[in-house]
This record gives sequence, C-alpha cells and structure tokens, in this order.
Amino acid sequence: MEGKQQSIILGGAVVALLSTSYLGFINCLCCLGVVVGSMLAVWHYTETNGLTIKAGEGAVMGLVAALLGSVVAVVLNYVLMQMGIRHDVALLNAILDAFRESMPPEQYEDLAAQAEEPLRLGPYLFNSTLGVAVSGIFGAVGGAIGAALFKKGGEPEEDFGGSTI
Amino acid sequence: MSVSSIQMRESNRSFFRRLPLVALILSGAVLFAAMLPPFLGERAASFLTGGFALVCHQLPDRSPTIDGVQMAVCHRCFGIYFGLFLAALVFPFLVRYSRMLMRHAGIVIVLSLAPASIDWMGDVLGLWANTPLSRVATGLVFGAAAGFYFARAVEEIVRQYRGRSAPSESVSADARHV
Repeated sequence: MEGKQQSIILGGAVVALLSTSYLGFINCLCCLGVVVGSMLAVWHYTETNGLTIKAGEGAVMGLVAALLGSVVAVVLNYVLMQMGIRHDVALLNAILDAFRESMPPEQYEDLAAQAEEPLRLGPYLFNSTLGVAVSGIFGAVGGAIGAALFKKGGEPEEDFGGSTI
Repeated sequence: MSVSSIQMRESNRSFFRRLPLVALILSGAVLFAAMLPPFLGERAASFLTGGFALVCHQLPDRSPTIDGVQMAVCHRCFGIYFGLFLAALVFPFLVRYSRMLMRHAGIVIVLSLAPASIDWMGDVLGLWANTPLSRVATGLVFGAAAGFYFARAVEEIVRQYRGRSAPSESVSADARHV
C-alpha cells in the first residue's frame, strides 16, 4: 500500500519536526506535535484516495507515524545536543530560575546537578525508549481521532456493537 | 435463583465481555508509570521522569506530588492519562452512542479541548490562576473524549485480528466439497 506508506512518512516527518529541540516543547501541550503529525498522516491518506477509513486503521497509521517520527527526533535531538544546542538544559535552567525560592533544597540540587551532567548516549537512549512508547500511544489516539474526523469517502459507518447492556 | 438475579449475572458477564482489555491495559500502564516515581528508588524514578520529559513540561509547581516527591507528569497530563483509562473502563456504557460519537467526532474533540484551553489561556493572560484541580479536571475531559476513540480503535484492531485468526467459512465449505 504505497499510498499509506507515503502518508505515514509525511506524518512521521511532521512528528519528528515537532518533537525536535525547542520545537519539541509543543508536546507539552497534550502531546500536540505527535497528535498533529498522526492526524496529518490519516488526513493525507483519506484526502489522496478519497475514502473513509476505520478508527482501527487510523490508529495503526497514527501509531506507526508517531513511532517513526519519535525515533527520528531522538536521533536528531542527540545530534543537536552534541553540537551544544541543549534545549533540555535550557528548560532545566528556566525551571531552576523560576522556582528557586519555592523548591525544596534537595530537589533544587538534584535538578541543578542534572543540568550540569554531560550528555551520555546510554542513559539518553534508555530514557528515550519510554518517551517513544508514550508517543506511540498518543499517535494511535491522534490516528483514531483523524479517522473519525476525515471522512472523504462514501462508505457507510459500521454499527460498532451498539446494543445496550 | 430469581429471574432478576439471573438477568443481573448475565448483565455483569456481558459488561466484562465488552471491556476493551487491550486499551485498558495500555492506558492503565501509562497512567501507572506516570504515578510510580514517588514509590521508586532514585535510578528507576529518574528513568520514568526522563521518559515522560519528551511529552510533558514536568514543572514542579504544576505536577502532583506524593510525600513531596513529584510524579512523572504534570496535573493536566495526569488528568489526560486518567481520562484515557476511565474511557476504556466505561467503554461498554459508551458503545451504544458509538455511531453518534463517530459522526460528530470533530465537535466532540473541540468541545473536550475547550475547558483545558480556557483554563490554560485564562492563566496565561492573567485573568485567573488555575489550580491543580482545574488542570486535572480539564485534562480528564479531553482524555476521556480521546480515550473513547482510542478504545474503539484498539477494539477494532483486536476484532480484526480475531477474525483473521478464526478459520474462515469459505475454507470450511471448500474442505467439505473435497
């Protein structure tokens, strides 16, 4: 299914872009970057082929787009951080400046130590695996929502077991 | 045994059969992982917190704490994850409205995002100061709406997989002819 691959790659590219460096802060708004990218994958597929897809199909497309984009973002972020573009340290320093007075001293010292730590590949990859997994789930959510929103075909909606309990 | 108690038992069995187990496990796992750091050692807590850092700002004064130790996500994200889990839990009750919810998905999502957007925007503009409760509650509203579509999608995938795993009728018919 070439059309699906193209759409998933497009959605994944948007997820990667919106999850990289300072742009990645958009994911602090309910994983907006991931959800937008996965919805875009579904929109592109339904728009290009003029059809309506099921929620499950949209969820799978969104999941794959989100996983693809998140993995690319992990690589890009590592490269940028090695070049000295440390968005993570910038956020930590902003938190330390803003909450210097109200934060417990132990927590302040822990965060300050984290900001000073050099970047190491092993711990970075270790921490990133959970982030990629969570992004995948929100990608599936975005894809399911996209399938419900973007109906370009005339296929009637299947009754999904709507009987009462 | 009375007719009403038999009906009640059948109703309970039917409810549990309709539970979207995979969606419940996935959303429950994410919620559980987000809540774990206060109960773990430093290394494990750091792993979880670092993982969720990709999807949450984790600002100290906007994150729930247990015994002074911060969870892995902020109040709003916690509300969203709880909403995702809650939607999977009550999915058997929502499925009767599935056709309507799918037809009006756009309105449902926009309406579910409105409380969180208003709550956040009002705080940013200085109109009011939002509270942990308002952040959790508004996150829960969006999480519940998104959770319905997520649970529905996962159930569709599971049903399709079960349909492929079961022997098809056409194969059986061909076998009979042979």
